[in-house]
Amino acid sequence: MRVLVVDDSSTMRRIIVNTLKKLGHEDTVEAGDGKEALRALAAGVPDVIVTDWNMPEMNGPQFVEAVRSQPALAKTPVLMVTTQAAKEDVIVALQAGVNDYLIKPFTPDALKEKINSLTRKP
Amino acid sequence: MSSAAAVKAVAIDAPSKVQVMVAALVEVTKDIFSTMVARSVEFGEPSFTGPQPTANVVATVGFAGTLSGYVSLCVSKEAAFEIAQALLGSSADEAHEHVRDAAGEMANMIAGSVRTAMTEKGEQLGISTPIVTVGTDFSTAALRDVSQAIVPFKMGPHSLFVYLVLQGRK
Repeated sequence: MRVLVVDDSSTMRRIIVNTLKKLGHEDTVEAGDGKEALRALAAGVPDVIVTDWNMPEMNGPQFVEAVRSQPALAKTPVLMVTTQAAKEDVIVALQAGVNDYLIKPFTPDALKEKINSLTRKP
Repeated sequence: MSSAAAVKAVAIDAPSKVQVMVAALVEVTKDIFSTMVARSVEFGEPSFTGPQPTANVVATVGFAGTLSGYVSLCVSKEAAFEIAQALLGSSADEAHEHVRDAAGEMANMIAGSVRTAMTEKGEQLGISTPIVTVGTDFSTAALRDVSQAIVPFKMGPHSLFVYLVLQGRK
């Protein structure tokens, strides 16, 4: 399974990638902002996208809207990992096309549960 | 008590915006350090006057909207390294590479979580991406017409601070 991790913090990307590796997901691609992530998506469609909200160039919801505008990515699961946790924020994220939401700070178990939930076959 | 007197009493007793934000800062900072760094932190009494504490690593996130200002996490290089290593669960070499970014991410989580707490109290705020300053013998200062709070806390042997500045007398 390939996971695209989008966050302007290299530390947060490393935390997420390390957790994914512990879950057995070794195939990860990293991007520092939405524009870089869109370039990575042009090179290949991942199984899951994990994205931050508060990023330069293009914020998380704008990035997810751009993802959803591409037919090939319409059904790719997107997990937003963010401190933006007000009800209004969740609505904005869901309207942009996010599938699930993980609030920072988070435990490795919480990330594991969200990833497993998004990738679980029906 | 007459209704006018009751209104006056509420106005006098109501905490300032800075005090409300300090209470949120303490709660979210404890949670972030406990969850992400596996460290318990002990808070001291906040002060509302005086210069920004000196520190080697200052990570700042601005916010704007119905309130505007910034939040800084102020730590020593040693504390910043310990935070980076604990966040990543990694080797010393990798932690050294991430000292700035880890401090910035901690400030981002603190400011973002305070933003959420204040949004639930009716404020409308957006936050910036973090800026991290590393060095010795430097100071930063808000210029004029600001309210501020210096919130000290301890992480093991390290003394850390969260510095809050709000534009205007809040």
